Amino acid sequence: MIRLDGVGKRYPGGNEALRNVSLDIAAGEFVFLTGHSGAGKSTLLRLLALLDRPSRGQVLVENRNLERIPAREVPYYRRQLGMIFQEHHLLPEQSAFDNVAVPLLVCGIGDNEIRKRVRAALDKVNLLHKENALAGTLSTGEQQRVGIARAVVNRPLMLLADEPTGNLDPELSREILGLFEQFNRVGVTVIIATHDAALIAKQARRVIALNEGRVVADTPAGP
Amino acid sequence: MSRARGLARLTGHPWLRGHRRALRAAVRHLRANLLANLTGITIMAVALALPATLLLLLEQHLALFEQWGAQPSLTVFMQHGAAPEATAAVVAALEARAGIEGVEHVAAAAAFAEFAASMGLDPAAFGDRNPLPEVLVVTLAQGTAGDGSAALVDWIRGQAAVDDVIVDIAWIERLGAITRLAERALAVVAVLLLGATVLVVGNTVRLVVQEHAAEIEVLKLVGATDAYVRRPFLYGGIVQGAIAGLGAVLLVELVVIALSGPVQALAAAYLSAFRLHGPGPGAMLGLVGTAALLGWAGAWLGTAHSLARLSSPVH
Ligand SMILES: Nc1ncnc2c1ncn2[C@@H]1O[C@H](COP(=O)(O)OP(=O)(O)O)[C@@H](O)[C@H]1O
Ligand SMILES: [Mg+2]
Repeated sequence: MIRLDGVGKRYPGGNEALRNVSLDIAAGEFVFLTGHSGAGKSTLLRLLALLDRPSRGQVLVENRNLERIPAREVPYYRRQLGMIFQEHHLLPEQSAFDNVAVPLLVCGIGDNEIRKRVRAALDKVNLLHKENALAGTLSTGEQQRVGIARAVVNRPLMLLADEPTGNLDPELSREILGLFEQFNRVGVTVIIATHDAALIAKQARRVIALNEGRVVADTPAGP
Repeated sequence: MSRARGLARLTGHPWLRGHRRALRAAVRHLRANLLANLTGITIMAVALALPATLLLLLEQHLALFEQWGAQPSLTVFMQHGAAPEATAAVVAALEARAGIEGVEHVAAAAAFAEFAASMGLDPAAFGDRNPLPEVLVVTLAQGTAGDGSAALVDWIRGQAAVDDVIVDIAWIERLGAITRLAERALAVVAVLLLGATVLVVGNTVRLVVQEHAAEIEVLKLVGATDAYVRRPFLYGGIVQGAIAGLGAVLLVELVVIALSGPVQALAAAYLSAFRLHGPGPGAMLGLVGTAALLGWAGAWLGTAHSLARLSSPVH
């Protein structure tokens, strides 16, 4: 589903964020991307989301070379993805419902269908009772769950999460991780970037470790 | 039934739905920020009303000008005692020329009889000694004043039977030149003011776009196209422009009402029934439409810059 082939990324200013990264991720996999701060995790996710382009090498998603997707088609490519960030990027002045509805509005989906799908997504993250609460008034954990609901409401092929548990205590982190597992069970490919070693240790998942922009270890899923 | 379903399918089309939502969002935003937007709308209304009023006055001034029957003409005096055949030949030659609307022959005898009657004299008392010459009044076609008429005057002067030609067109040419100058000045003022209007809207929209930077970033992250992001702002510009256009119509009407009294008094002093009237429905619609178009253009300008900057979100 995802293939990186000799990918390098050099930021203007000379920072080599990724160096010769090659890897394959199959459809339906659940992968942790790990490494110290500055290892290149976020950069890799940004390339997958076409928020940036590689300086070298190729990124293929579903056999499509992302290099060949022109700027005006990037929005349509992004609609197949669900993205979750540490600083969740919610609209604090709008309700949880309205925040989750944004990806559907962008696609021009009708009001009834939006209501159905937003409610379903909020229900999956156990926040249906807070649908009318303003996002800014929710707790950090709740906000992260709204962010996840927004990422899955469009039934994406893959979920890209950048430090999704960064601001959460261990118990909330477990809960969030449980949500990702739930979506993975129904076939969504999940890639989680995190430097939280303790969180990963408890999972028997594939772990790709980055250091200074290189893949230094790729541990397959355990039993 | 199939028609109703077709309609439902049309109004439920994602593209149309997007436009409807964008328009609703624009109106909602405008209502929520009415006071802030009122300044811009007022500036725009005044900027539109000024050239519109000038245009209206100029148009009606031109109408008045034509109403006077102020067509350029030449007065040709024949030689004293010119043979009737010679006069008839000149008339025939003039009528055959292009750029001439008509030739009126004022016969010397008739003119003298009229003159004597107006003076209360008996023309018979003068016997055969009519002091007036045969006169031809040559009406030129509209727009032939200038170089074209100079050649004609030369030709007429060259005729043996002709004594002199008086050109009545100088003042008309001057008036025409002044009118053309006024038209040009109006065009320049209009372009400047309308340009300023676009910039005013552009600036307002740019500020609104900046206010919504976070929202726009989210939209782009979840796959909004530039057109989708831009749409509510464009509708905002159109709605703002249309409101300003209505305001401008109102202002023009007020100016007409304020001026119509004095203008009528002035016209009456010149024995004219001229009346200043306001813009017709077509002109009003044109003004509102122009304003909406300018609002749209301004909004496009206001979003273009910011969108280019926001189009690749970074975090
Ligand atoms: N926009 C940018 N411009 C310049 N350098 C950047 C930019 N983003 C990241 N970097 C650099 O690239 C390297 C990798 O960053 P990042 O991918 O964010 O790592 P991680 O997410 O693993 O902490 C770091 O050295 C970082 O400073
Ligand atoms: Mg990072």
